[in-house]
Amino acid sequence: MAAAGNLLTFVSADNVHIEVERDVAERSLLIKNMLEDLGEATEDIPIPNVNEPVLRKVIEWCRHHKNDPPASTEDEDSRRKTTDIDEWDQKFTQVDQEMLFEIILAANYLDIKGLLDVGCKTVANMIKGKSPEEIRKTFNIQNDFTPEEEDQIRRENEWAEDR
Amino acid sequence: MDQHIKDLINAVRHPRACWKSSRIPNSPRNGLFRLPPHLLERILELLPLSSQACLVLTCHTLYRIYTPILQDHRLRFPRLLANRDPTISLGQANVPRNIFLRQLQNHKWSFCEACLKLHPRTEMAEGNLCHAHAGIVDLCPCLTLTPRDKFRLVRVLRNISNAKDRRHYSIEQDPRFEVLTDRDPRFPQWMVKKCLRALFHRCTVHYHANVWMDVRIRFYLASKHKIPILVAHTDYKVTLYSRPLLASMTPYFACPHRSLLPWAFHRHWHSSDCLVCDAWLRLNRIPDIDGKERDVHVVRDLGGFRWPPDIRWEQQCRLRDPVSYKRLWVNGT
Repeated sequence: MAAAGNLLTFVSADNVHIEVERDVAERSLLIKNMLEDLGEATEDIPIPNVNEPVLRKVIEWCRHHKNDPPASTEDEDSRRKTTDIDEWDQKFTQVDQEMLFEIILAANYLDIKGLLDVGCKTVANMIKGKSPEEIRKTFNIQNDFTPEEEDQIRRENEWAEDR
Repeated sequence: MDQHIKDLINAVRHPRACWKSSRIPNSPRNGLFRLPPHLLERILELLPLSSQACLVLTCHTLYRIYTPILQDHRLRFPRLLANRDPTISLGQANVPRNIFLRQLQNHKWSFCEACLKLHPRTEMAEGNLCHAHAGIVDLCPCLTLTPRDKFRLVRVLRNISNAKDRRHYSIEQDPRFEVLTDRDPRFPQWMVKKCLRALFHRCTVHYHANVWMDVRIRFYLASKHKIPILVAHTDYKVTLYSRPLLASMTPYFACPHRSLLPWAFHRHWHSSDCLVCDAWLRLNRIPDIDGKERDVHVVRDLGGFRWPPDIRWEQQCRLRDPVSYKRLWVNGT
């Protein structure tokens, strides 16, 4: 059953019911728009793409940021150009990679712009300044280039030459 | 339940309604590839160019999708007479290409601050320079030679094949060059006694709104003090559509130390040697009536055939010190 008053009930992909305050839930534009269309939520709200641990992390972020003022287009543009992340968000994103990507996917699905920004910036910071080998190692990407192909790309683009 | 509410809940239940596009196909275990393309592009936008390029080089999937990132003009080999920007044509640490190449360094490759390219570590000496201890020679907007390029040219002119040259794009098939033999009717008569083969390059340079140049370069082997050398002989046909020369005009260097246009349109000079690099400049024809056209020969000695490059090659090289470069760039001569 849906929670009463200002509380909503989310149902995660693994069928766990989680109660959440309406103002926290409304950090998600998807939920906010839905609630505006519905008026009162009389049913549990299924979140089929997000499992319980991820949904709880997303709610934790929304709860911390529930009083953030809505960002103007200019703010959003300038925020998107830098990879600076505030201290609380940095600690929040200190999770294993699988969880980090799940949070990003959940933020994308639920349309939570701030959280999506934080997630993408965290990934960008993990890539910045690293060599291709280091990036592969960080994200467990399999190198499917042969050494000859790599050398060929370097030569063709005039990045490398030998005697 | 009201049908309207059912429809809305249904919309939430079906993620396809929200996904903006499909995910990039790759290993499902890899988090980065689980992201839909628009999120990957959002991450790319947050990265400096050098890191974007490094990410693209991690695997075939990203390479195929984002090859245009690698073709960004800021990652191209800096041809000074094409980009006319000494700030991006030197080995400075803040230049995107230099940052990128430093990031590409690994157990096999190392960045050379003189050649502005990666070399095998076995070819590196101390101080981020390769064994050549020399830099780059600028000949025209299309041709900028490293010491290794020079020795490839020499091998073509001497008709010597080297297995390592097969790794590179063949000079004989390079559209910038044409191989001329002494049997070729276009082979200049004055060169017949000097060599059997020559390489020819021609380009036109719309250098400024009121300056047009037809550039012809011949590379040939010659002998100086009984030592075999590579020569780059450039013929410029310069047309100036309006005078006077603008003081603010970016210099076009005939040699690393002399700006071509002020020299060509100076009334009193007919030939001179550069005091630094010994490049020989000569006005070939009496100026036309209007004084708008000049034929200028520039002969540059690119040094001998022995590795590493000798002092004559070094003298022809693009200056590496940004401070002296700036002074020369401003003064134009």
